[in-house]
Amino acid sequence: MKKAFLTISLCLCFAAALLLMLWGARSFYVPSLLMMGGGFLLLALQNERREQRAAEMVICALFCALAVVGRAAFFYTPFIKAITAMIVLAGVFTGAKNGFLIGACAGLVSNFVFGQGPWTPWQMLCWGLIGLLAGKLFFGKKPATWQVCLFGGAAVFGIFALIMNPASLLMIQAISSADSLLAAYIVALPMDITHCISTIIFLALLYQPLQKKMQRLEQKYGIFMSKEK
Amino acid sequence: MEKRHPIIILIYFLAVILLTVCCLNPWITLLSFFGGFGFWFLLEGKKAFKTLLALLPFAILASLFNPLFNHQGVTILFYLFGNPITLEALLYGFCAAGMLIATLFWCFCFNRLFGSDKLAALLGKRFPRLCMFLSLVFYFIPRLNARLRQIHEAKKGIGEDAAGQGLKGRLKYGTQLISSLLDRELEQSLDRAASMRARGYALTPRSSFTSFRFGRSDLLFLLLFVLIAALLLLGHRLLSAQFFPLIRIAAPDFWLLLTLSAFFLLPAILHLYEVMKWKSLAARL
Repeated sequence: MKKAFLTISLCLCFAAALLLMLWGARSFYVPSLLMMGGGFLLLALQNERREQRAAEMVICALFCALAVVGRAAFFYTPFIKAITAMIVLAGVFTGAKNGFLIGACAGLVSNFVFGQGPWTPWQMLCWGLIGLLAGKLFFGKKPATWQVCLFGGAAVFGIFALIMNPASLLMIQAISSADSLLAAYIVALPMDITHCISTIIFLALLYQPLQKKMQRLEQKYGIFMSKEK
Repeated sequence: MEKRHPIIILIYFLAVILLTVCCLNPWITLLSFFGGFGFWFLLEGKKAFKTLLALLPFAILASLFNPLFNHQGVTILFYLFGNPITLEALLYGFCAAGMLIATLFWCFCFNRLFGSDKLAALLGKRFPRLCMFLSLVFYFIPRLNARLRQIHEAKKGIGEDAAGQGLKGRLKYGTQLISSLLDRELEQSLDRAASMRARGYALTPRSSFTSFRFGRSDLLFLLLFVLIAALLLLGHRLLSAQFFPLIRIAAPDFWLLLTLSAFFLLPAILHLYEVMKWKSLAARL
């Protein structure tokens, strides 16, 4: 069964490459979708195989759910978008592999709440990557608040905006030019800036308290996050 | 359609959405729109028209976006700030907007048919851990929302509401809410994990609340789907559409159009058939 899934995902990536070669610049939507599908399948397989304790999984699920509903806590300041910041924090506290899982699942689940659309796979990819990078950089290293904030701000522009803007362009336009790409970035700039600032604010406010809570849990219950290899 | 096996629903909707998104042929866009909107109308009733009205501004924006930045095409209508606005780009924009709307309607229908229970049923056997993780997340979301409301009410009760405060106070309030929420939930979730372990988590494959059997009607649907898809693949040359520099769209072939409409109208027809059958059965009682 595992081999079958491995073959399927490799076939998907191969088909994507083939389509890209045949179609050239005519359509990027389907090849990129296929490639993402293959990648997600591989990562899901790896997720099934790796060691993950029950406690670790429950904590990860809690972070993922909190990323989706975190917004509700800031109902007095509705411009705060908690999801990216929560995923960064989740990556920092639970590691790269869990970070990807939490980010991608938060993308999927939040769209069950707010409505699925052609943007779902791209959001899953963006948030998954943000969680993964946060875990790779900071897991187990106890970074300072400014480091986490800097990473969060950079991730919004360097990962989220970088991927989502061309992706939303692909959804309405099969043939994209450099001009329209630039226009898409400019149109989305105000939104990206609020997103970035709110992520930084959220991280600055919540990183220290959360760090303390996680430390306390580790002291009380022993180590419950498996070490990254 | 709701009763179909989740894998069937997933395959059908993926195929429809992919075909709509990657073939920018006006005929496909039109038929896909009618299929998606028709099915949404059957599911929702008159509310479907409200959705359509709400989507129209986006469609107009999306269709105007293209000619502003795309100056390919030979039929120049007029110049705007020294840039040519071409008929081809304008029509292309209209088609792209129609495609967007059609896709959105299919997504709405998909949301209605494919709930979290179906996702769990689909993943349960092959990806038990992912499935467990997702069902935990789906369990946590309403719970966390309820807890947040409780904490907010309690704080309001002791007069610590941030309603009248400035930005700083409000931000701090949100932090406090999340902080107390996590204080409660983190420890409880560790207890939950211990209880999961004690009850033999991961010892047996997962079962799901709703059981879906791959029955004869599912097989029939799949065969029909494969037949239509094969016909479409055979006729894919007739589906190509070229917009730049000149609009060149293959003349619609009657049989191709018939196959296409069968493909896009399948869920609506099935839904109608089921409703009719139910009514006739109910009338006989």
